[in-house]
Amino acid sequence: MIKEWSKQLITLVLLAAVIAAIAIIATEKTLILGIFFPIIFVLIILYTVKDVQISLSVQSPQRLKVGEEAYFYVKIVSKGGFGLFNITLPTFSEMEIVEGTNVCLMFKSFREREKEVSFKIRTTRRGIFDLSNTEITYIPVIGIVKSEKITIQTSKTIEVVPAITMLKKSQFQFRSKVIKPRIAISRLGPPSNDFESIRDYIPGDPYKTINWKATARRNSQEKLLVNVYEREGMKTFIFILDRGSNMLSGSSSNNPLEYSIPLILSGAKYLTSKGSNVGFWETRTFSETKAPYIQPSSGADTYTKLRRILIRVEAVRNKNIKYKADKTLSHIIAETLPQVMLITSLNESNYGNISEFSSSLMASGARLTIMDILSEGISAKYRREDISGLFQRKIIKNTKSGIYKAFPSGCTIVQWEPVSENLGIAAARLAMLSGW
Amino acid sequence: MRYQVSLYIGIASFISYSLLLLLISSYLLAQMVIIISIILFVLGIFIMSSFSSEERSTEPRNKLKFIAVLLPIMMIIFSRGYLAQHFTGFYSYNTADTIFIAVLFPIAELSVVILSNYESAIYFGKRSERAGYNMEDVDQELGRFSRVILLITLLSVALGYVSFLAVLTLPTFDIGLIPALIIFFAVIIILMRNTISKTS
Repeated sequence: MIKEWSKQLITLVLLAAVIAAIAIIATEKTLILGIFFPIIFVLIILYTVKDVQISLSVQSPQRLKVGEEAYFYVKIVSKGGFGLFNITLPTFSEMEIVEGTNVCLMFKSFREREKEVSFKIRTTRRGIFDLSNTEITYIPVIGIVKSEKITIQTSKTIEVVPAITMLKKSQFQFRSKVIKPRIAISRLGPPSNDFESIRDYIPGDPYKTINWKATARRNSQEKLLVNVYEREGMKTFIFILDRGSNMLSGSSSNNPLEYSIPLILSGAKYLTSKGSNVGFWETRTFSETKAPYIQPSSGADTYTKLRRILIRVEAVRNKNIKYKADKTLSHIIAETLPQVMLITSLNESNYGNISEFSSSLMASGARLTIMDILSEGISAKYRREDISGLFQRKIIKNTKSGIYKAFPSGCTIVQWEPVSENLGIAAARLAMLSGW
Repeated sequence: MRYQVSLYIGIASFISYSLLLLLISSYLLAQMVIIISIILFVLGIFIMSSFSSEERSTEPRNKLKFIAVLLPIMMIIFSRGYLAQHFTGFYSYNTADTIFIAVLFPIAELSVVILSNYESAIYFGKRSERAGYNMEDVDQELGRFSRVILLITLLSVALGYVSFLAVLTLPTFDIGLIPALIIFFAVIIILMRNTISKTS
């Protein structure tokens, strides 16, 4: 437009000049009128234009949850300039606009102009994001003044925290397929009066714990069922998160890593609320000397620390992961004999290393449960909508059975197909096998 | 759309300009020139509208509107003064009233400027449509843009007449050649200085 206006105005001025020349030749005074109009038009605009002056204020929430929607309110004030402002308002990566738009036009004439714009966004991924700068293209109404690109810094960050599911005890109080040890591997105190679950009787169980009603209901199998009570003292649970490239299958906001974060946080929230000790480690690359970790502890502070780490955690692409427990983790495992939950996504290329890692953890004294997040379904979701189902259950089980055989016998593996199964199901599976 | 008003005013101005010219000329050559200019004008609008529906990075230019307006103006110019002796085909315009001619020029130029404004607005409108803008908001902003340009254009026309009257009446003051030249150069220097400072 700038170019066009410029040319048109130049044409108008030229037109005036030509008319003036011909008017002189033709000795006709009336023709002078043709000179005035374009010149006055240009002068009016030139003399009313002030230097460009534009400012804006953004009102946005500082913290959001993944999947949450929020409004951004932007107030634009222009005190100078005369023309159109083409404005791109600040946003951040990993979000989508669900209502309104972040681009707008604003025409500023002689008077000061204010404009309010709002748009609604939905967060798609956790993280700490810097709001982008506001990009403005000023297109003066008169082309003699050049168009200008203006950047307004937006020094604002938005923290997008993972959306967790509040797990309830009732979700895990069904009969576990795996017999929980009477003497916990983790160092525990005596049983309390808090009911935890029902399981098959094992010789040595106190008679008072036999649940006669439940046994009667299942009399066909002629097996006794006993109540399991929570033990006093603190169990120790350690989450280990795999940061390998296997955790990036799918899109940036829909991959095993993104699914594992709410699972860990939901689990940690539940476990800390039960008084258990929760620790967290993440796998490192060979070039990383250290990675953030949380020593097993209980209380809200542990959860807050864990959330802070998990907001920032990123998987690494094209780098080999060092599947080896560091000194601190090895020491803690030997000391507390914890329940370790390794959250990963097993595939043909990484299962050998993870299997070795599992063996070493178990050798240190950990009781290990591996949560295998099935990435095939996630990837399939982005190829064809209807093909996702094909990967579920049978095909995946067949392909995975060979992989699982490579793992030590004491290690339990649970699968989670996040595309078709919600977080509650995954947590319940993990809880059953890990003794939450 | 709100900025369509520019198109209507532009067309109305040109139609009144063409009709006035047709009314005062009985010569076939002059009438032919006016009809050609009307055809060019309509064609220009048509081409400009079809351009706007295409994906373009630069604004389409409608040069035909300039030619359409210029043709009759040239015709009038050649019919005035001693040039008329050489271009007898347009002689009928020589007999036309001076005030009548004075009305025609601003109308023609107003038509060009208003149409240019409309073309810019429609170009921006079409581009915004594909770029995810809120079209209601864009329409409002371009409507404001068109209104302001229209106001400036009308003001320019009015001031043009005032200036013309000033030119006509100033010689009656008989201020003398030297003071007149001084005033003239003073005005020119002031305007130039301000223009340079504004555009630098």
